[in-house]
Amino acid sequence: MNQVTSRTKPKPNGKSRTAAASSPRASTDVNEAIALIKEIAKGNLVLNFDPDRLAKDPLLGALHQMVERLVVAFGEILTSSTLIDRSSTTTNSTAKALRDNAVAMQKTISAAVSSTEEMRHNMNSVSASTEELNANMQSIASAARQSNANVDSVQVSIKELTTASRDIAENTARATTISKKAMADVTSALSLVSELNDAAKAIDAVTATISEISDQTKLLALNATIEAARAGEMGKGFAVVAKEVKDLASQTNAATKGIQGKIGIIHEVARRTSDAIRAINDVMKAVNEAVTSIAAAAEEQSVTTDSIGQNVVSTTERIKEMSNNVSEGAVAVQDVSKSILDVTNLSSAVAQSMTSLNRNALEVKADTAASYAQALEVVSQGADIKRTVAGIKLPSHVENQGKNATLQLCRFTEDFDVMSTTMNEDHKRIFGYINTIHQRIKEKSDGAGILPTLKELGDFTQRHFQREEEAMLAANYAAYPQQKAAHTKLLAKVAEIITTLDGGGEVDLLEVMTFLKDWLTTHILVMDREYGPTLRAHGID
Amino acid sequence: MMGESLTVAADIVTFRVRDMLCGLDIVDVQEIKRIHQITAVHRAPPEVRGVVNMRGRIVTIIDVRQKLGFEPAASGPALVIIVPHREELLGLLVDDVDDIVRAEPGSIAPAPDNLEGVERELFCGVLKLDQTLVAILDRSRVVERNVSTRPSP
Repeated sequence: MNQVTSRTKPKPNGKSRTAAASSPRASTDVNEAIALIKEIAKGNLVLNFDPDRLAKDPLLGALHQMVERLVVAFGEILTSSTLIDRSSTTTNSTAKALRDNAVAMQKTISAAVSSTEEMRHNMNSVSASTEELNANMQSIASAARQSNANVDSVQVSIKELTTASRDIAENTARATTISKKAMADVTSALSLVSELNDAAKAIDAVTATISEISDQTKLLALNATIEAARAGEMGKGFAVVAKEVKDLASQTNAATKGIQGKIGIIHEVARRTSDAIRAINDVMKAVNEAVTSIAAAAEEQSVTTDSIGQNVVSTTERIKEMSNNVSEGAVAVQDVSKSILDVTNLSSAVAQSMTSLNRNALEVKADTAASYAQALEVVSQGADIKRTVAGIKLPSHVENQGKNATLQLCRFTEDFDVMSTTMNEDHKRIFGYINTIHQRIKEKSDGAGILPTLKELGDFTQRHFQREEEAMLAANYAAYPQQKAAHTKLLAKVAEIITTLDGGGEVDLLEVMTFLKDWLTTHILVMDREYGPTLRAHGID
Repeated sequence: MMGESLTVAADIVTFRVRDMLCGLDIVDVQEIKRIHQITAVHRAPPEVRGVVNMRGRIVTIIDVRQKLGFEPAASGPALVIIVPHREELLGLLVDDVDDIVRAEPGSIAPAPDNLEGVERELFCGVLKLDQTLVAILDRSRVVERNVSTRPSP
């Protein structure tokens, strides 16, 4: 504040300021003080005070102190408002993007929900269809097994039939041969009988002649007897001869009649034999015809049966093949059915999950809308602060520092002063680590991205705690045990996070950030600040 | 001739007329002849079948069947018993000549009244043989022209 001229544009009432600055006096003129206060009231904090007068003039000194404090405060406000503005702008766009994403996500989820619902519905009907298919396949399989068995028995029957028809064919062929031979025999028997008949006829003719001769002989004998009787006594010897001749003729006649009778019987028998043979011949002809037609039929049947047999064999193979396929198909369908049931159950679960996800998404959408609205409010507030602060004239270095403030999670301010240079420096370094980690998270880094910094933080903190504890022991600090316990707990927590990340696990980065920020706010602000006076009293800086 | 009683043994020529066994005393018979052709005589009585020429002698053939009241014998070859009658020869046409049997005295009985329903007067007796009966014809009555089954004109 040693500069005489303001770096801002000249003020219309620059006279008072100049007067106060250019005319050193022992005591402050009330008017001069009023002019200064008026400047301050206007928001002009860039005022020149004569250092020589400050010590002598209590009013001016007080004003100077007030201005100094105001500069510091407004510098802080400017810094904060700049940071808020910057942060809120980012937050605003992030919130907007978040909201847009949430809306889009909710839409997508909503579509997914209806798709999932539809899928679940479809899966149910697919499941039902598959169940039905399964049942059908089962019944087809059992039918196929049945027909398989049936065809097997048909095949056996056909084989028997084939054998039987072959036997028939062979037997009929034999019967044909036999009946042909029998017919030939019948023909020869017929001719033999005919010959016999002819022979009998010839005998007939002979016996007729003999009969005639014996008749004539008888007649001659009778006439001789009559002649002898007419001759009286003279013819008696002749009569004896005549009688013997007559008896002979009579015997011949009787024998001939006997022969004729026998021949008649032969004729009759031959005729009947002939008739019988003819009947046999007719029967044999019929038998032969029947056998021939049976043979033809049997042959045909044999061929047909063979072809049926072959067809049945191939049909059997096909049916067996089909049966196997159906069985496999049934098993496959059962598997599919099971899988579909699983999928159906899963899709039900998915549908449920999607529904609740949709509910969450709706909540997220509402939340993001709210946060967007809040971000807008923050932006508006930030702008208000900025506008307000803009009206305050600040020394350029303070203004520059405020306007160029870097956005950090935590800044090391006077509040964190623990009255020890070493510890303050350590704490500043811890702030640096925490801000770095925060920056990484803002840049959307994952757990692995923050791991190196986290490890450095852990190592450094361990060394820092050791220094603190040694100092506290040296100063015989009463709350040492509490401090020691808190240190151990903090280190354990950091070590746990590092171990999780080292093992490739996931950590909640928001939780990590919350933990680190709480450390600063609760531990340093509360616990550490308490040891300051004790350490200073023991001359430890 | 034989009449009521036979006092001496006699030979009887037996023959068949239809199924009837008849007989003639051998002394009344000249011979037995097989005739192949008979010449019909115009306006002859029905029982006269015709005439034949036998070794130059004309023989009148009488159908005994018709004489006895039966249907006529079949035409064709026939057996004829040649019987002399007065100065001519008559041929008695019969179905078959059977035998010549000996009739012992007393073996011939008078012809019964109901003899086969034929003209009783044509028979002179019945000869009893072991198995059968022989109706003995009266030659003269058979050959007499007025002795006929038909009523006389």
